[in-house]
Amino acid sequence: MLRKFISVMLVCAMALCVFAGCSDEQAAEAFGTSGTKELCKSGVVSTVASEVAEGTKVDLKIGVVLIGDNTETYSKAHIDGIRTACENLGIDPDDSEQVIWKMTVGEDAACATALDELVAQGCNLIFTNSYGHQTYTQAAAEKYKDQDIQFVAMTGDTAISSGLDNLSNAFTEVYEARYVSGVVAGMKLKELVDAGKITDKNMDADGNIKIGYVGAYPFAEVVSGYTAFYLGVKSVVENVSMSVSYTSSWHDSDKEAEAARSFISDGCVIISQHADSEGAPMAVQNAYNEGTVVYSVSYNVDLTSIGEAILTSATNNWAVYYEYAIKTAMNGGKIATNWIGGYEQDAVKITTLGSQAAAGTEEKVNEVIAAIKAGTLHVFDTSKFTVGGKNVTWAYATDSDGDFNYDCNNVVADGYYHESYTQSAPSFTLRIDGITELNTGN
Amino acid sequence: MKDQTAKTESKRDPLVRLVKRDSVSAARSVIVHAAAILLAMLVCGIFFVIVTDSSIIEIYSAMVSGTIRNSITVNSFFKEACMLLIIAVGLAPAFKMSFWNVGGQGQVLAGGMAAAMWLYYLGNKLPNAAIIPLMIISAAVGGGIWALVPAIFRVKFSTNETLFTLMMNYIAIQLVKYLRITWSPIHALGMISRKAGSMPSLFGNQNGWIYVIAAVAVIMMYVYMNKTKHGYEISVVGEAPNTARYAGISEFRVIIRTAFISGAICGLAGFLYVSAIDHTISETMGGGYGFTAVIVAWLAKFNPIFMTLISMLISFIRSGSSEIVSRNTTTLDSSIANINIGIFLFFMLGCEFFLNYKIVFRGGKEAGK
Repeated sequence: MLRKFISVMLVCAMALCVFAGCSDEQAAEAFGTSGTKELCKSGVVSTVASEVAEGTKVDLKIGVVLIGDNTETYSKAHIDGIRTACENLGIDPDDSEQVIWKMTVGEDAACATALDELVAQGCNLIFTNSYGHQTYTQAAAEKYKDQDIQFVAMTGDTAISSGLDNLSNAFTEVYEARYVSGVVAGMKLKELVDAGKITDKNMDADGNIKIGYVGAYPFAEVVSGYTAFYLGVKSVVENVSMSVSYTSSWHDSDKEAEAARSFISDGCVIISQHADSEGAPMAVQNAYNEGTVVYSVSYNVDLTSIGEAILTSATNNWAVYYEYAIKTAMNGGKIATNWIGGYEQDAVKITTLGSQAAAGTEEKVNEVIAAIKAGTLHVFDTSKFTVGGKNVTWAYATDSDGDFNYDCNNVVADGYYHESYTQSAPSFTLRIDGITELNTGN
Repeated sequence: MKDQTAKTESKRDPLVRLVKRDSVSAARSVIVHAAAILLAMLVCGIFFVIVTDSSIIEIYSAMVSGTIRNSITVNSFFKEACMLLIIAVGLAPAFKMSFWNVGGQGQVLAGGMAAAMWLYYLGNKLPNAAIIPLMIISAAVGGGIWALVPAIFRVKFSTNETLFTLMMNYIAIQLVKYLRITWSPIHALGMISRKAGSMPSLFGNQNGWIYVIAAVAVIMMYVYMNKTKHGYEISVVGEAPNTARYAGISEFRVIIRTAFISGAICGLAGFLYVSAIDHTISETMGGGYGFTAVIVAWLAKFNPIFMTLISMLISFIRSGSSEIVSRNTTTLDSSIANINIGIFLFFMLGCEFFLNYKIVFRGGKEAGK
C-alpha cells in the first residue's frame, strides 16, 4: 500500500510537471536578461512635486499598507503625511469610502493578502510603506496591470527594472537630513571636547572619539543614512570613528535598547539610529540620567520629550510626496516612476533641537541647509571620505536585472556621489573608512 | 450550620453534578451545534456592535457582501478554506489513531522549507516543470520526517507525542527564521523568487491547483480511512490498542506509517504556500493554520464533510472580519479576525462538553440520555 501511495504521488507530480511547463517563458522574461551595461534602463529621477500631470479627473479611492501603526515612529510619519495630504486635497482620511488603511502588515504573504483586499475594495491608488513590501507590491502591480490602478512602493527600488507602468517608487533625500543631524551631533562633540568632558574611555586606539549607530538591516537605505550622519559629524569634528550594530528588524525596542547600552558601555558619546522604536533614545536617556556623557540623535519623530539627552531627529516630511501623488492620481495623471525630494522640496528636515544642543548649533544648521539647497555642499563629497584608503572615482548605482547587485550607471561625477540619482531609493552602499560594522545584520 | 448538615447527610448529592451521556442522538447533536453557532454569531456580532457602532444586521450583511464582493474576495475565501482543509485532512488520520499530532504548523513549515530550498538553489536555473515536482516530493518528505521523529520516539520510548510534536513546531520556526535570511535576496524580506517554482494557474485561476489538491486530498483521505485496510488498522490502533495487538496488527508499523502520511500532507500544504501563495518562507506562513487545523479536525470528528464545512466557516469569519476592519480602518486592525475565530471555536468546543455530559442539579434525574 505504501508503494501504491508513493506511486500515486509520483503520478500526480508528473501531471503537475506537464502543466507547470507553461510558465517557463514568463520566468525567462523576468529573470533571464543578463546584467550587461547595454541593457541598463537608465532612470531619470524627477523632483517635480509642483508639476502635476493633468488628465481626466478620476474618483480616487486610496489604499494604504503600513508595516506598523500609530505606535511605531516610521509608520506614524507616513500616516501623518497621508492625513495632511488628504486634508489639503479635500479627502477625508477617516472615510473608508475614500481611504482604506491596512496597518501592521508584515513583509510577507500578509502584504499580498492586504493588497488583494484593497484591489477588491476598489482602491485605485495603493501605497505600501516598507522596503520589504515591494516584492509583493510589484507582484500585485503585475497581477492587476489590466486594471486602472497605480501602485507605489514607498522606499522601494525596483519600479524601473520591473518595466511596469503602474508601479512607482518614491523616497526622500533623507540622507541630507541625516547629514544635518550629524552636524548637530558634531557641534555637541566639539563642545564636549572644548569643555574637557571627553575621556580616554571615549576614544579609540587611534585617538578618535567613538560614536555608535543602531541600524536595522545592512541595506542601502541604512548604509546611505549612517554614512551621511557620520560625514555630518566629521564635518565638525575630524577625529571621530563610528560603529554600526544591526538589529535585523525595523522595529524591535529591546534589541535597539540593547545595542545602545552596549555602545554606551563601550564609551560611545553620541548614538544615532535607523530603527523605528524609542528603545535606543530611552537607553541613552537612562544612562544620561546616571551621569554618563552620552547623547542621542534619533529618527522619524521629535523625541525631545524623552529628556535632555535627545539632541534632535532626522525626519521626512512625507506629506510633500503624498500630496503630489494623490493630486496627480486625482487628475488622472501618471505618478512619476521615481520621485525624490530633499531640503529643496521641503521633504526632509530635522526636528526641534533639544535643550542640550551646543550653542551656535541653530546658526550652523541653517548655514549647512542653505549650502545643501544652493548645491554648494554635497553630502557624499568624494574628497571627504575614502574607501580602503583611496578616494572613490567610480560606483555603479543601478540594479538592472533584479538580483539586488548594482551592475550599471556610474554615479560618481563632479567630485561627489550622486545619491538617489538613477532611482529614488538610496543606492549608496560603499563602506567608507572610519565606520565599522559590528555584525552582518543576519 | 450548613457544613454540619452536609457532614451528617454524607449521602446527600452536591448541587451540580456532571453525568456522562451514554450516547448522543443525531438530532440532539445538530441542535446543540446549531445553538453553539448561533450563540457564537451573537457574541461576535455584539463584539462588533460594541467596537464599530453599527447594528448586528449591518455587521453580518457586510461580512457576507465582503466575502462575495467580487472574484478576488471569493477566490481568497476559497483559498483560505482549502488551505485550512488540506492541513486538517493531513492531521485527521493521526488523531484517529490517538496520535495527538499538534505539530501541524511545524510540518507545514518543514514542507515549506524543503520546497523553498529548490527555489534558492535551482530557481531560474531549471524550468519550473522540473522544479515543481522536486518541490512537491521534498515537501512531502520534509513534512513527513517532521512527524516521523516524534512517532519513532513514541513507539520506541513511549514519549508523549503531544509535547514532542509541539516542540518540533518551535524547531521548525527557528529554522525558518534562519533560512529565510539566507535565502531571501534582501535579507529576510519579500519573496525568494516571484516566478521560479510558481504554480501555474489552472482554468485561468491562480488558485486552481489549490482547489483541485484540496478536493483530491479530502476524497482520497475519505477512501483511505473508510475503505482500506490501513484505515481499519488506524481506527483499531486508535480505539483499542490491545485489540490491535491481539489481532496481530503491528502498532509500530501503523503509527510510523500514519504519522508519516499525516506529516507529508501537511508538508504538501507547505509546498502550496511556497509555490502558489507566499513565494517565500516565513515563520508566519499559513497564519497559524497548523494549529487551527487541529481544532478543525477534532471538531469534525475527522469527517471530511464536516471538516470542509468548518474550514469554510472559519474562512468566512476571516474574510467577513476583514471587511468590517476595512470599513473601520482607523479604529480596528486585522487581529479582529483572530478574535472572532477564537470566539467561534470557543463555542464549538464548548458545545462538545454539553453533548458528552449532562448537568444534573440536586434532586434531578440521573440517567442522562
